[in-house]
Amino acid sequence: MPKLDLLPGTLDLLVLRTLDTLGAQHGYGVARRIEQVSGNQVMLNQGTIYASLVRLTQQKLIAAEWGVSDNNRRAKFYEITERGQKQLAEESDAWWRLADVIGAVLGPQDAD
Amino acid sequence: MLWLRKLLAVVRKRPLDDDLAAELEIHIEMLTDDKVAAGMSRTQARREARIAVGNLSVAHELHREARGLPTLESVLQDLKYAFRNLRRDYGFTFVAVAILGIGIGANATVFSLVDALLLSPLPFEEPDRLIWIENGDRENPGSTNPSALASRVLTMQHWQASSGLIHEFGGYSPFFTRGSWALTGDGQEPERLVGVRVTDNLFPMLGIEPHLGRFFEPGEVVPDGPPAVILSHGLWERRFESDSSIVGRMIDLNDNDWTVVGVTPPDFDFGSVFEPGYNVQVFIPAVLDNMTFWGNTMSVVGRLAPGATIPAAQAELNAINLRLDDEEPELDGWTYWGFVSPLSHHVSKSVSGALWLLWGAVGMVLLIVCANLSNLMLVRGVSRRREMAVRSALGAGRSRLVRQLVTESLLLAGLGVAVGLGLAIGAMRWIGQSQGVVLPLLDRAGIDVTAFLFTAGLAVAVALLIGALPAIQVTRRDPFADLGTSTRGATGSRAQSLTRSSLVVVEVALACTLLIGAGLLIRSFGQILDVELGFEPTGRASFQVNAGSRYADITDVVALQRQLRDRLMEIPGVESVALTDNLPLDGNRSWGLRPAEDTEGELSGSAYVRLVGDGYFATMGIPVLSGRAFSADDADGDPVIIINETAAKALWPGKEAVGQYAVGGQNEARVIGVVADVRHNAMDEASGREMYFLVPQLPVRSSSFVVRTAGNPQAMTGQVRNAVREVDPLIPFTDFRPIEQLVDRAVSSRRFFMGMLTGFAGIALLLASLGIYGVISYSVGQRRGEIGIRLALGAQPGNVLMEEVRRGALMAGIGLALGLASALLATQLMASQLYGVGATDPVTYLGMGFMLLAVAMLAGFIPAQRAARTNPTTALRDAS
Repeated sequence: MPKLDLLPGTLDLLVLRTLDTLGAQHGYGVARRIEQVSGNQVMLNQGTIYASLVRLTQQKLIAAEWGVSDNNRRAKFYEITERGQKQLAEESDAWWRLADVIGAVLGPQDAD
Repeated sequence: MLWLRKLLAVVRKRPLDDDLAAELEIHIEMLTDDKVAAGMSRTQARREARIAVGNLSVAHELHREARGLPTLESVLQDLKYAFRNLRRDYGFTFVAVAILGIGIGANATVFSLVDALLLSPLPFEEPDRLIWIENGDRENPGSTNPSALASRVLTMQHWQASSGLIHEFGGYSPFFTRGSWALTGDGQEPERLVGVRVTDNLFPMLGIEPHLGRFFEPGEVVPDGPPAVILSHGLWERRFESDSSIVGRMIDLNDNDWTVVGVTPPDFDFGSVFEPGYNVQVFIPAVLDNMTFWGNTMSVVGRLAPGATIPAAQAELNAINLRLDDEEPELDGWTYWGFVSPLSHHVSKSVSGALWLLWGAVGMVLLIVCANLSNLMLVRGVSRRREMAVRSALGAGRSRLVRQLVTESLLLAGLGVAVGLGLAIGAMRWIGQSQGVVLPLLDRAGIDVTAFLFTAGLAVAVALLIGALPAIQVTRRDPFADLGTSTRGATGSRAQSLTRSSLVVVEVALACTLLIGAGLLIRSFGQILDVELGFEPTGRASFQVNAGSRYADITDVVALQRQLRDRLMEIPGVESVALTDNLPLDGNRSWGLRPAEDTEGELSGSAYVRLVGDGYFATMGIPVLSGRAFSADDADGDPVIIINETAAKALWPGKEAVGQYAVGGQNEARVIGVVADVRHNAMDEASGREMYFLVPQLPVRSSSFVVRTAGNPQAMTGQVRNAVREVDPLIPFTDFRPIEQLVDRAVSSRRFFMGMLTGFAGIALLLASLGIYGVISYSVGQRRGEIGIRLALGAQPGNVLMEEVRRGALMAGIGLALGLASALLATQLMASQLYGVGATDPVTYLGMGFMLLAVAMLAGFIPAQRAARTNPTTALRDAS
């Protein structure tokens, strides 16, 4: 099965959720986590994740700071802010409602 | 504040990019490490890590878009590119910015004048309701005799009682130049001040607020009320050093104590609104009850009732005046009428025609500037075809290229605005300070926000105008054709060269129109200066003497005047001295004048009146045409009068006037002489009737002493001052003004407009010839190879020269023809500005036409000669 393209705007949500779960994390960590969780079904140019990170930082949904990683590398660490958590709650709520509606309209999936 | 962070991100592009690069590098390293740990070779791991991260420049691009303001960034990019281009072509940029700066500066200057004088409301409360009410001949309006323009206080009081549409009537006495006020007794140098009598309601009616104290109270405008005076802000600042406790203080004016009750606000300049050229420094209450039965002594200002219109007020006033004809016998024998106009019209009336004209002219200059720059940009555009083609081939859309070109012209215009505003500020400063420029409301003219916005708007319009043509031409082309050809040696298409030539033709036509306009003004000015003044201004100077109340009796005044004259005559180098109540082209008033036998008043008319001492005609150089001048002995004899030629012809047509009896004002006197007509009111206005009475038969308190000297009178200022001091040290001796200055002032606004228009025409001529030069020069440069071949094949350099000169002449000729035609139309609009020449004056048209043609030919000749001198060998080598 070919990999899925992400819907526009959803990468930000995934990044927020990932940071919420993992706590402070660098860009590579976020990308790795998303790929792992998605079971490698999502098509992700890992470089594009940084646009999402900078956008969220500017909106003050996450905070960024240079630090040192486990294996002693300098890296920029991102951490979700309170505002980010609120935003995440709202947006995942909205996402589920939308998914339910779409699911309801499309009907039960054929088992094959 | 998200946009602020984004803006910051745009500015901090470098560090943010570096940050991202570091992050991406770490990302790749971490991914590589993980893959190596999973058992991959390091080389292989790194390769796959790079693939997983994807295209780094895409990551960068997305990052920038996410964090910044993409539109702004591409604009900045355009700007940066434009700036780099302009810096590379600094020669072009310099010329373009200089031309633009001149064009925009001229426009900003004229606009700020137009704005202050014609567009902005007067600096008063609800200025639309303020009106000017002028006396005059009801059958024959349009006189400019000041006595005939002022009204009687009695008439004004009748109006006030009857009018419903005009709320309030007030005013001032316009004959203040005569009534000068000597400020003494404060330990400083005595000083002569210009003071004007104003009604107590004038300032409140205008709606201004005193800077200090208050304006006049009703108790101060009754006969024998306490003497109160209001100081102008300027005088208070200078003479009283902005003393905040000035209100309530006594000052000594004409030997009387006056209480200062107030100071006018700093932005109120009475002179600049009502009497341009006069710096009015003190305001004295006009006691109407004393003035009721005086003559025409009040310039009337009124305030319309809310909602009332000028025509309605005019109709009402006419009805009142017609009723007064029947009901009020004491008005009999006086001309009275009330011509109502908006106060703003009255203030700017004298200059509005010239200003509109100037505005039109400066607009033309800007059009020429645009045509010129369009041409420059076109030429530049041709040499940039390859650049555009490359960008287009690399995927830049047409709109992107047009935007780039428009950005460049906007940047140019921006630089032009900077230069232009600098020039305009300098020009306005010069105009403001120059004593020679007498314009109303000048104190308000300056480069303010409005002028700045106007200029900025102008610049955008200019940028679009000059950027559009080249943008269309450059981007319309097929990029691949341009990439294929070498730019060197390529000739612009016929269409392009036609466009350029047409622009030059337009420039020449506009320049021609401006030149003819300026030429007509110059000729008018020459005619005015050649006017027979009736007196001799050079070698004479005057100072004013005001006998204060220390000279209680009029005989004391006469004695003082005699003493002064005798003392002045003793100064070596002084040839003659005489006094007069008013100098020509300075103050003015008029009385009725008729032959004594004409009791019905059939030949009666108003005449300028002068009260002069004996020796006046010799001192001023006014020729005596028949009879004789006043002599010292006349003082004790029967009443005598001298009239001018015009009056003599009007009063006793076909008869000898000398020996007849005339009544001037209330005074019957024998005519002893007829003198030449003197221009008393304005240089460009025929003299009208004039009469002279002898001081002291009719004594005056305030007078001007005219001193005729052998050399330059101003060199004797010190001696004259000492002489005056010896006679009475309390007489203020402020200035010893050359009579020439009066002539200067009388022509100053005309000279100003003439100078401005001539300057604009000069710029236009320069730009148009630059246009011709540019086009020929460019075409010669482009066809260098062709010319080289022709010369190598035996063409005569003379023929090559002639061919190019012909091209220039053709453009100049067509432009000239169009210009002459448009000048015939345009100069009709300036008929009112001309004096002594017609709008179709052939001398001007021919002269200016020839001048334009000569300059244009020269402009074409220079590059043509270069073409003829082309060395075939080098030209062909370069072209191959």
